[in-house]
Amino acid sequence: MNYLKPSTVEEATELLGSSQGMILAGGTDACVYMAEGFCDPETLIDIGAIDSLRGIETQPSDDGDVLWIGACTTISEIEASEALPRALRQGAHAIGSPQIRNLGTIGGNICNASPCGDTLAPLLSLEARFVLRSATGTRTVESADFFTGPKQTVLQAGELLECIDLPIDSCEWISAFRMIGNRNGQAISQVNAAVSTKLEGGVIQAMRAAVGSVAPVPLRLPQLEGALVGKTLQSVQWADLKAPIMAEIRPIDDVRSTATYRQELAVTLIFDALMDCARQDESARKGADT
Amino acid sequence: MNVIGKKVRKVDGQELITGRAKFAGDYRFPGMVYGSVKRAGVPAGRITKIDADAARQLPGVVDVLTAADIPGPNLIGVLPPFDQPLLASDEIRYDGESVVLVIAESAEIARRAAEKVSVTINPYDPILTVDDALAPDARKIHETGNVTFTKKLIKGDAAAAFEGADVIVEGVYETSNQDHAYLEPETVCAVPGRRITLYASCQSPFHIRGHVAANLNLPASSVKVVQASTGGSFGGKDDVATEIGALACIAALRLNRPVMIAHERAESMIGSNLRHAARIRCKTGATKDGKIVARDVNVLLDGGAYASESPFVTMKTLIHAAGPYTIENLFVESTTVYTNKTYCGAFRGFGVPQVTFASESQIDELADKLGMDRLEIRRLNGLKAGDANATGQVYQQSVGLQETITKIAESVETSAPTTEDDRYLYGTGYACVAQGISNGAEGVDVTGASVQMSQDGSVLVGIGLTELGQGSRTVWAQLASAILGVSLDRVSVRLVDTDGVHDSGPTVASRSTTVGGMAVLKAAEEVKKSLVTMAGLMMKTDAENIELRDGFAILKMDDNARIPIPDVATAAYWTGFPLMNLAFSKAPDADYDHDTHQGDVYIAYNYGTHRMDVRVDKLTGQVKVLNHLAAHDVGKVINPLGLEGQIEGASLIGFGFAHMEKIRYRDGIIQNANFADYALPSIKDRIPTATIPVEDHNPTGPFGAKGAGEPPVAAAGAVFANAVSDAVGVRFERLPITREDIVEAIERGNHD
Repeated sequence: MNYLKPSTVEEATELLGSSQGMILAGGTDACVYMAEGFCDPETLIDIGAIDSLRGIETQPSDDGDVLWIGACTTISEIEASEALPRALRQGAHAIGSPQIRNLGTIGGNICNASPCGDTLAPLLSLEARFVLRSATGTRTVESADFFTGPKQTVLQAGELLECIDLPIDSCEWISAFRMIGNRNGQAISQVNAAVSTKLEGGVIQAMRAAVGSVAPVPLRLPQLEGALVGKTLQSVQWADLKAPIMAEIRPIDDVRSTATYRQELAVTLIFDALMDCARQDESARKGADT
Repeated sequence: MNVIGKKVRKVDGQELITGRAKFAGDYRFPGMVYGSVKRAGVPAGRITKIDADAARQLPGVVDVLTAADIPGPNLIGVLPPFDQPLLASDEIRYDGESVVLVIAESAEIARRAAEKVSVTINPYDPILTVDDALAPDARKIHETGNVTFTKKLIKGDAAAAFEGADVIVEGVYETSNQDHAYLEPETVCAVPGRRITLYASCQSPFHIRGHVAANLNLPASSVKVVQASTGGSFGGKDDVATEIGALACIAALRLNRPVMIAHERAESMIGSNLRHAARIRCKTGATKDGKIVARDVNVLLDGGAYASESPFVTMKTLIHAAGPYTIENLFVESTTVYTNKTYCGAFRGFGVPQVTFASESQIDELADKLGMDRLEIRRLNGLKAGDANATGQVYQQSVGLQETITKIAESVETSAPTTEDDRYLYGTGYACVAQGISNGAEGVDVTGASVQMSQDGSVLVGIGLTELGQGSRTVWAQLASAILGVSLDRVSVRLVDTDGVHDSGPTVASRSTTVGGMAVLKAAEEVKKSLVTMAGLMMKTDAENIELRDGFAILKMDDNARIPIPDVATAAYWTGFPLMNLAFSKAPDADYDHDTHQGDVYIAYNYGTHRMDVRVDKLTGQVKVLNHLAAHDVGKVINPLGLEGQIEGASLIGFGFAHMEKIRYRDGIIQNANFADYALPSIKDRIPTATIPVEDHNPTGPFGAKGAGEPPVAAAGAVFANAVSDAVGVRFERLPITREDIVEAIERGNHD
């Protein structure tokens, strides 16, 4: 096996173009796959040492300011960053153990494209955009269009994920994430869910919801989003959510859970995330009063 | 200071925490090579061809072994006739069966080479359920048939007594396979020489020595087994340590190079014994005032491909099916069958968690049917000193069940929080347990121990039982310290080494403190005789006037007349009094009828009562344990910290058994052989167990102590089931009761 460790993105994309190697970032998924024999790459390109792929900062862009997140930013850094929306930080916190979060990267979580990846639903609910780069150029893909199936994405040969752009205004919305696994710590999500809401006086002006592990790819829930606009968060009932969510999700039975349980959970986790938003809104408004 | 009953830190805690303790995988010897096995990959079939050419050609591969290369009988097991091969030669009986051993210069090469070995197997339809195994026309998994072991316990006349019962409850209860999930997977390291030495992460070194020698076709005296620091065992490092230990020794002698075999996590789950899955039909009858008059139990255990400890687990379920209650009429039939799945054997609790779940569920059902208080019905039927238990054995003392019930009844009533939120359901459960301590009539209870004092007054203890994390080494050190009057930091307990001490049998059955402790006590008393005799000579008085305490030999009638123990030890040495003793301790013979299972079985029982308060999330099925109280009669607490550790740890295993852990098979292949998909409790799932010790002096244990390592598993499992059933208002008859199961039960309730 060839192990390559480029120090710039240019070098990385060139090596990727010429070798068709496998990208290694934190290695928390890649190393497991190699050990299990799921893949046996001839060339491994370790992008973990490229400084320009790491960090969180506000940057101008053609569509207004964005919050820029380098693909090799670790899950721990995402979790700790106060600049980031709550849903994304909660999603990061839900991944693995502290050791895994210290090594794993957000780019790795995205490109691994597991339907249960805990940063994916938050990124969809924040309408994140992914910047893909190859030796010949870059292109930007909406997070909702990036995933094409379990472990499958629109990434072409020779392309790597360079960064994630979060539109600044979506970072100002109130958001929350919930997951449930087969235990409380170090659990893989049986279902996860994220919502992001724009509120005025407790009334939903706009919202975005996304769920993971209930379809081959993480899903946005436009029917639900449409159904809730104009309502107050406080008035949302669990039962109101059920029909629009059920209409869009397609859970399956597997080693981690059953389809029926996943349906129930999807509704409950969206509900709990909305209630988390309601509490945040309430305490923000109380804070504003005093 | 007398350290008996004092909170002391583990004597080996510091070396473990600082990484100085040496585990089997830490050993390095010049020229060491590594072994990895090719496993069957199908649950049943016959080997038609083995082709290892591709593996042999891989650079770094040193040797490839098949069944034909094993000098001895190629068999291991617990109770003769042994039925489990080290390497399968023809028949494949489970997916994880080892077929070919590859030895290479690195563990990585060995593993990759093993993958390249091609084993052609003509597959059979696997037998995957106890019903299929017992079907009249079923294929025979072993020549002897598909029944591994079957026994009956008969006391009184249960059939007739049911006639006189006012109420009868009946149910079928099921439990799942559970993995030991120790932090350190199984590892051994064999070093050839004039005699061969095996360093092993293991539980029962003498058992391994016997099988290694037999399969090497060498006398046992040419094999030395040393227990390396062991990262957990819980019953799981007997059979498998024997398997890989023997394989490593065989390869080491062939190559004249040290050989290490270390399992990966998946191998530890697929290729090493599990807890028996059980199906228990149970029927209990009582009078209208709550007195149980009869019980009829049929236990079916799925033992997987090989017998392992199944005969003893079967027997344990028979003896414990009545729980800690006086039931005069009892009929229990227990059967373990072979299936084409990973073999089952010893696991902390040893059959008792399964039958306790069934028994304690029925006690609640009886109470509900009779409108009685759930704790009161347990008190009414619970054993007391002088009562005959399930096997008719009567203990005149150390039957502390009633006091554990009292302690739980007195526990502060934690009232369910009143909340307007109807999202949560609250419930409280109770469960009682009795668990036999010692091998008892299941085997023989012999233990060897050595105690030697140096001229400087420091003490070295050797024993044939193993420290597995349970804190036994600390208990043994405390016992020697107490008898010889030296402080705990002057006592060392050395690694178990089969050369140094008498064959002490396996480290099982919660017997380390009780049976092992008695051997240490006996050896220490002999050394004490030399010291007090010497001190008596020095003080010109009789030995019986001397006591050993606080580092001195002290004249009992005058505290100021004292001689430092090192001075006494030195004088004793120069005078010619022995300062070392090799003791042998044997528990009293059991008087037992193996046909009816009536008679005296164990040297003591541990009794316990648990209470658990839970909050159940109706929408997700998540259970929060608000409160868990565990009262156990342990005879005498030797180390309160160690006891708490044992009760908390065992309770968490019971909680996992009852709520989370399940080996999932599909077509005979385990689907979740990793900790991501196998729901082992994490630190965030830890339950708030509070230990309540009850001390009802046990005359057969050191300072009155009884073992405590296993009993909380059964009680915690049963109490969880009862608490959740109480909250949800539905009886759960299958473990684990997962979040999915809870949501499903609530849904079903809503629709009814």
